[in-house]
Amino acid sequence: MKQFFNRLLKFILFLPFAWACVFSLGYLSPSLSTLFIAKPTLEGAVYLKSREFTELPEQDLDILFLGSSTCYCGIDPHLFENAFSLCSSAQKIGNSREVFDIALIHGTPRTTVIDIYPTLWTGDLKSIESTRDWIINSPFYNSVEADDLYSYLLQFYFEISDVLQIQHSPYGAPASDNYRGLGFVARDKEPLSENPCEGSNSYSMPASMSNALLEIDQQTDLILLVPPTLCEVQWSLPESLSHIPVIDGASWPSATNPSMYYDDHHLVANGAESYSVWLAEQLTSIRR
Amino acid sequence: MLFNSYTFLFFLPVVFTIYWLLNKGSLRRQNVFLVAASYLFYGWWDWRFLSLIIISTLVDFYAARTISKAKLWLSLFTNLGFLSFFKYYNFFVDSWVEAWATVGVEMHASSLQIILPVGISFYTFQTLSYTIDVYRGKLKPADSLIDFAAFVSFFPQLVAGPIERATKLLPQIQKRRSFNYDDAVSGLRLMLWGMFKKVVVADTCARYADSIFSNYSEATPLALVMGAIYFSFQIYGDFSGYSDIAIGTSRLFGIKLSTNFKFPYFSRDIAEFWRRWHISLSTWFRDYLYIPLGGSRGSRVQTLRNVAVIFLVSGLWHGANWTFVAWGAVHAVLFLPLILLDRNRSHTTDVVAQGKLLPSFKELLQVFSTFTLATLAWVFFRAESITEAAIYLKSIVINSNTGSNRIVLTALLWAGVMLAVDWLQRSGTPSWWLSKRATPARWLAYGVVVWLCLKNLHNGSSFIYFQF
Repeated sequence: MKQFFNRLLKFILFLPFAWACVFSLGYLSPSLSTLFIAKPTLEGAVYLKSREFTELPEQDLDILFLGSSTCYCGIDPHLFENAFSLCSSAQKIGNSREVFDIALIHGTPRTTVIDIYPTLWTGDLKSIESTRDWIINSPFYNSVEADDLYSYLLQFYFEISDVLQIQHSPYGAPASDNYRGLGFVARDKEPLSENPCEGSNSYSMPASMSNALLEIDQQTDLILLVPPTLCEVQWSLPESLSHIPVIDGASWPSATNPSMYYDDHHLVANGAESYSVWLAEQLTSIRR
Repeated sequence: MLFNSYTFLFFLPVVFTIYWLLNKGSLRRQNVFLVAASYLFYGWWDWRFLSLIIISTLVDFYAARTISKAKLWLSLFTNLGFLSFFKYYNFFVDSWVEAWATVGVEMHASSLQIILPVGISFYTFQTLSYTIDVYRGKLKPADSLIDFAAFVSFFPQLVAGPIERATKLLPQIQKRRSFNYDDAVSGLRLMLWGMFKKVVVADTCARYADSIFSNYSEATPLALVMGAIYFSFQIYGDFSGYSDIAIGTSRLFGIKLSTNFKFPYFSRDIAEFWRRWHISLSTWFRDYLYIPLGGSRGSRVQTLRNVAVIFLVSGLWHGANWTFVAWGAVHAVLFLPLILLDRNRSHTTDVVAQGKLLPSFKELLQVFSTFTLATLAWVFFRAESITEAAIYLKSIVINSNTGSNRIVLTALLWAGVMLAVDWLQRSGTPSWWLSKRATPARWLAYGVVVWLCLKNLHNGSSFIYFQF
């Protein structure tokens, strides 16, 4: 038994050496880095939008958008004044809380609009997919909180990468994704011809998520946005958020028009344009 | 609790340490702890369903103590009753209504919102084998309820097998275990290898298989072929990975479980495939269904009927959906001609390319054709409905879609690594090829595998066979 534990301990102490070898392979070759460590990608455009964000002129933003893919391919910040979108794939409210802190490098945005897609209210406060997206693809890899061992190791890997000044180019995005700047990705996909949804789902926001929103609300004018979806979604927010304005995307006149979507909740480029124009009017009336 | 979760990473060392500390005490204390740890492991998912395991345990324990035909029926009724209700109730009700609807009779029956208890098919079969064996006089009934409860609920194999026979597992539980260094080390190796198969191979392949199967109507013919191949590797990596982790974990506790997979994708015909795939289930059906039905003792027609029944029931065992029955039927269709030609026992003792590094051209062709047939049959297993499976298979041949062929090198590379290691180990008992290398080289390889597992562990995806 003692021999077993001794041997196991020695192996555990050996692991950093083995992983240093993996790191070395990653620094030597982009392909090996992709295979063994992480694949930097333009998909979702965190790589591009985070770098564009660091180069914005030194002035406070009027509007900052946060949220998941329904936000970065559904809301075009060009149709708003002095706005930027730091939305990213599977960005749950806990992730938005961290990305909001990243955004403070440009001062506090006057208004922050968080796209709260109800399907993402289930499970953990943060999604690991979003955390890793920001660690792998953005220069802010140390600004997000790693929640698992591998994410810590990734942060360490990129720290050494910076010291050694090794940067591997990202892989391209799907042909249908067109990054238009300010964090917006226009999706040129075939629109739906009919509504594929049956029935409806209902969601209630858990307290952990509403608390994260309240923390943001203390620093900026917060507006919550439930994105339009083709499937009927019933949702409810906790009482503690009752003072925060909420825009319901279901009120957008084209919310139930399948030709605006390429799946049950993502908008095609035309849909995004129409929705953004409508959203700009809603925001103007709320902010007035 | 999932093997591929951080919770299990914490659970296992704690349970392992306490278990061996208790070894200095009595066997009874060791088994009480094993039962408690197993119930915690299962209850982590949903503690309410522990009641089913406890009821099965009590019924079978007391039924076997003074076994009679009536008590055997009580055991069968209880265990199969739970299984039928929780797993098949809605399936049978819906199928009944649909069957009448096809002849124009409208029937109304409401299905229930039933949660399927994880692993119910596995522990039901395990505990059933106990009462049947006691009834047949092959086994003496257990004296201790604690020992028997540990046998039914032993956590490494509780939710997805291997389905252990009481004749093999119970004596190990009734005997005081002592720590064995070699068993523990080989157990850890097997766990690591199983984890690699699950989180690196199966979960990587699953991403592409899922995406192709969910958009099969838009996929190119080659993409559809790739989708089926990814699923073949997914299900093998997933299930044999689970079995390896289960067997490895058991070894840490001084208990040896049965081999469940013997490199099935190197089989030279479907009969050999079934001697190598999910062995604990196949042998269960052989001993408790096929042989009681008459096995191969009767006429040729009776043998064919018995084999067909086994395949259909085995399909249904996998899930309450006609797709699984169809999958079983496809395998029966592939298997029965081998019986007619007396070729179903052509490869019972040897392995492909025995004693050689590479197979002959003939062997390669046999392995390739068996893999192809098994892969095509998996389409029924993976599809949502028989119609979907039929369209999927038809679209491989008749299809004018264009676009990406979804050849993903990463998925194929990791599947290739899995098959290569399998190939090197295929002769004899699974000897760890790497264990013969020098320590630094071995540890470096293990370190890289640990790294790859950590990289993919975040998926936290369930094992396919949990649903069965």
